[in-house]
Amino acid sequence: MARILVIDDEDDVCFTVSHMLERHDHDVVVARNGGEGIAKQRATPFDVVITDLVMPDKEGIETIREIVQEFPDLPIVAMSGGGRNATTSYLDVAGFMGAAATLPKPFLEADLLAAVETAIRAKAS
Amino acid sequence: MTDAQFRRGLFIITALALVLPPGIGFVVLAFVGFYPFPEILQVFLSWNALYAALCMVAAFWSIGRYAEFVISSANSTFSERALWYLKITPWILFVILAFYFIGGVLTAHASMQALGHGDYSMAQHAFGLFAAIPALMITALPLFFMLTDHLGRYLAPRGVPAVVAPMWLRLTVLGLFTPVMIGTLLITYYYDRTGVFTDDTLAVWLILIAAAGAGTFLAWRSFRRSLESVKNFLNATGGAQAPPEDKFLPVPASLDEIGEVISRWRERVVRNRKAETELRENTARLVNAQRIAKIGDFSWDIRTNAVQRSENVYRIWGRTPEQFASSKEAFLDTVHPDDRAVVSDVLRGASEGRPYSIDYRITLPSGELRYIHEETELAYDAAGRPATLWGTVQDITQRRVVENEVRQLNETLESRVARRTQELEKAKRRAEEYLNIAGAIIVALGRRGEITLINDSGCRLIGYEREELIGKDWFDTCLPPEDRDEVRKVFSAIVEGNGGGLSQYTNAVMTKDGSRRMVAWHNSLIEEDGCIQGCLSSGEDVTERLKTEQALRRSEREARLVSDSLPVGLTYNSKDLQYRRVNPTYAKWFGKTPEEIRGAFVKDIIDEQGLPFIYDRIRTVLTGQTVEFERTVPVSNGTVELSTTMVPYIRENGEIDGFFSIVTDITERKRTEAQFRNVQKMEALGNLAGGVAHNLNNLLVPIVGLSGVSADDLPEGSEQREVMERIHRASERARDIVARILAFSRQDKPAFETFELKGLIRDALALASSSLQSNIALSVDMTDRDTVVDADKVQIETLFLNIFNNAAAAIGAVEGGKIEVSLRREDLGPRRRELIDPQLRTGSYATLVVQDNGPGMDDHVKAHIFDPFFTTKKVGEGTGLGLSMAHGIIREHEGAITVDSEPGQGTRFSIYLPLPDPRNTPVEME
Repeated sequence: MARILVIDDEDDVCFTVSHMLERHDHDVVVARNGGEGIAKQRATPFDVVITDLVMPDKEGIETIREIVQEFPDLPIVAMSGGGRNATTSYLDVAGFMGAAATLPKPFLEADLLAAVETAIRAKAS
Repeated sequence: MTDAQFRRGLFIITALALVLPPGIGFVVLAFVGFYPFPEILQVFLSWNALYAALCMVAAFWSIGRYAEFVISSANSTFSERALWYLKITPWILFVILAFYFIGGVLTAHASMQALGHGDYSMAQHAFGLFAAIPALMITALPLFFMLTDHLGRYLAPRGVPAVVAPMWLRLTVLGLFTPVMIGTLLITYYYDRTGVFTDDTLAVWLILIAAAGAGTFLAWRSFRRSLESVKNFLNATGGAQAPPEDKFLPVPASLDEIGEVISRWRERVVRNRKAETELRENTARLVNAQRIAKIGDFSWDIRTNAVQRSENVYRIWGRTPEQFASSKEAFLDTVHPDDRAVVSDVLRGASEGRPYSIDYRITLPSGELRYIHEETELAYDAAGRPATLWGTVQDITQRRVVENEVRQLNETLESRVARRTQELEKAKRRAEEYLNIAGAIIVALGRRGEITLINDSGCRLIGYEREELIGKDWFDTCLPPEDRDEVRKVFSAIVEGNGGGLSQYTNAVMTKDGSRRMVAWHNSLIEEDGCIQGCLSSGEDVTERLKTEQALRRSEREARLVSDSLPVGLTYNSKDLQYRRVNPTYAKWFGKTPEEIRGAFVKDIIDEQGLPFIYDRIRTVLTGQTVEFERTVPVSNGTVELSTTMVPYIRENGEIDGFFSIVTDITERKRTEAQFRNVQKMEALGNLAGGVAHNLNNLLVPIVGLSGVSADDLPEGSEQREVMERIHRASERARDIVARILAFSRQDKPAFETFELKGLIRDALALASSSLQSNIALSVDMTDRDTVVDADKVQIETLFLNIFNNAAAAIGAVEGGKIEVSLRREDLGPRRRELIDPQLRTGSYATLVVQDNGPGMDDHVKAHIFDPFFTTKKVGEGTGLGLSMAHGIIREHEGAITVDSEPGQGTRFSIYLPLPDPRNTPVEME
């Protein structure tokens, strides 16, 4: 069981991710944007952060950068519906910035759990 | 002397030379005979004769050869070398004789030794032969001189001064040398017989030499004297006299020739007699003629004052010789007192060296007056002073009388003529005034080209005063030097009456300041009494006009040059739609030359389908409006897009004459535009797809995720679970479609790496063929080596699989399906490259071909096959993005993809990937 912070501006996404994780006894806290997520992490640190990349206010890449700076040991899973800039997909950028695992939307429950597992293992080693 | 005579002479002289010397030598030696042994004499003489013969033959043969040479070249230039050769001939002869002497001595000695007479010394032989030499020379030298004379006489008339043996040499040889030789011979003989050689003998010998020398000198002097008079004669006549008659008679060689010589001698005698008779007759005739013509002649010896008069002089003077003393004074007495002073003056003049011609009157004893015309000439003495006055006198009384009558008649005429002349002058002045008023240049020339008339316009043009021009040669004064000869020829032709076609002629005129003006002339002949007296020409200064014409022609030429070289079609059609002007660019579109189109009508050139459209536009342009339109035109090799602007040509009076068409080939522009639009479309689509996909993905998160989770939660085999699973499967398909749209929208820049394409295709085929339907047979041809490309491995693999899957899908479940995959290296030349895709570069390519035997495609499908979202698959089976992406990928790789397909014929995709240019590969330095 892990304490997991989910950051996404989409209600449905937040619900789905929470539902899938809670089914496997994870403790899930939801934040609506990057800023909110970081605040919650500061208040009560989590074992894993799952963050969307394209969000209003503080978006994903920036969030990942700040988390990596402030909490270098916190495993991050980046998820995205496929946005990209001219040359690179955001997921690749997220991986480069310090996300331990990436997860293209939409995904199955198994994909999500695998990504979380991967992120935790990556940080642990 | 003719060549034949010369040759005959040569032959005779040579024959004499052969016979005489040995003969005389034989006689002399036989006579002298101081050898004591007659048989030895025989031997010696035979040798002697042989030597003489050989030497003489050699000498005369060489001269003969020389003469032959002279004959053959007598009429051409006589070379210095030949002359030199001629001059050394005597010395050659001398050398030959010397050889004769030495050879004779040596051989005689040898002969004597051989015969056993060794007691005879060499000196004795020499002495014996020395006696023979004079005999030979006495014979040979005259013959030689005869030969050279012969040659000289032959050459002299041909202008060749050939004196082979000068006179002093001949005289010395013949006058001095010969007597001395004979004397020496006699003394030798005498000495031989008596053994006595005293002072007396020597004295006699010396006297002989002295006498011969004196005789020779006298002969030489008299010869010089006789030559003097000949020289004087030649000097006096300026050397212009013909050479003296050829008196040389060749020695006759046969009776025929004797006859010929005699007959020639007779001819000469007869000729001389005839000449005497003729002289007598001529004298008589002269006397008669003088009498009839009333002419007499006289001579007056200026120094002695003696006058000789012919018979007729006395007759004219009406005096007998007794009444008319032979002196100047007697003559002057007969002259009319009024003329006497003048006649006396001219006579004095004559005595000072001035011959004269004069008319004077004389008084006859009867008191009658006679008019005399006298002509004279002077003869001079050696000192150049006038010696004799020769003259003729003619009685011209009768002529004078007639002349006087004529003069009186003329005087009455003169006043009438003067009046008439005045009238003519007035008419002429008036005519000239008219001419001056006329704007044209008017010039009249005489037959020789002298200016007889020129009007003010002419003077102004040329820049001279009229007085400066009248009488001057037109051509030398008023024409530029470079044209003079030509124009003078034209003029001559005109005044000769041969200038039929030249009545109009344009030429340059040079003005006083040297500048040139072009004048167009209209020429007409001035004829009087049917004789051409000259030429009257009116001219117009056309310099400016010609300049304008020239400028016009030049600008026209320039315009044509520009229009010919423009990549724009230019035509001009008259309003009856006939092509009047066509430039090469325009003509080329229609596969014709401009000449073929010029003169044709619009309907002959424009395609039938286009005609109504074109006629419609032409109707508009002929109303005066400019028309612009674009049109696809079938041309000789396909179609071109042409943009045409038609501009009416409106004349100054407002009438529309026709129209210009300016036609531009916009095929390339159209294609670029289409491509550009396509790129834009793809970009927009990509952005759209990216946005849509992102949103869809977010929406799909709960559907995919929760449906899966919920299905798991529901009891196995329950209806709800079945429902949930269907939702989940559908959502997964939706996810795949979105993923593909997203992939399309990504427009990833290829990540280039160098790899062997063959390997990649082989791996991809291994993957794809595992899921290939069993009804499809696969054949692979990848035998070409070295298909290393610089490309994005993933993209190329995706692209290949895409096309391969398409092929498999096209065949479907039909039995006997076949897919052929081939990979080849290919060099694309400019023509083939153009055919595949004009944007390809020329060079080497890896060509990947995927061919199926499926149903193929119709033209509509083929045209849209690379369009995004175009698909023939069922909804949900294809996005319609595969080939569109393939197209994009290949573009990024600067390659090309083409499709060939006909319904029922299968489909063939060809992918061209550029192979790296080996020239661009950097050379690695070791």
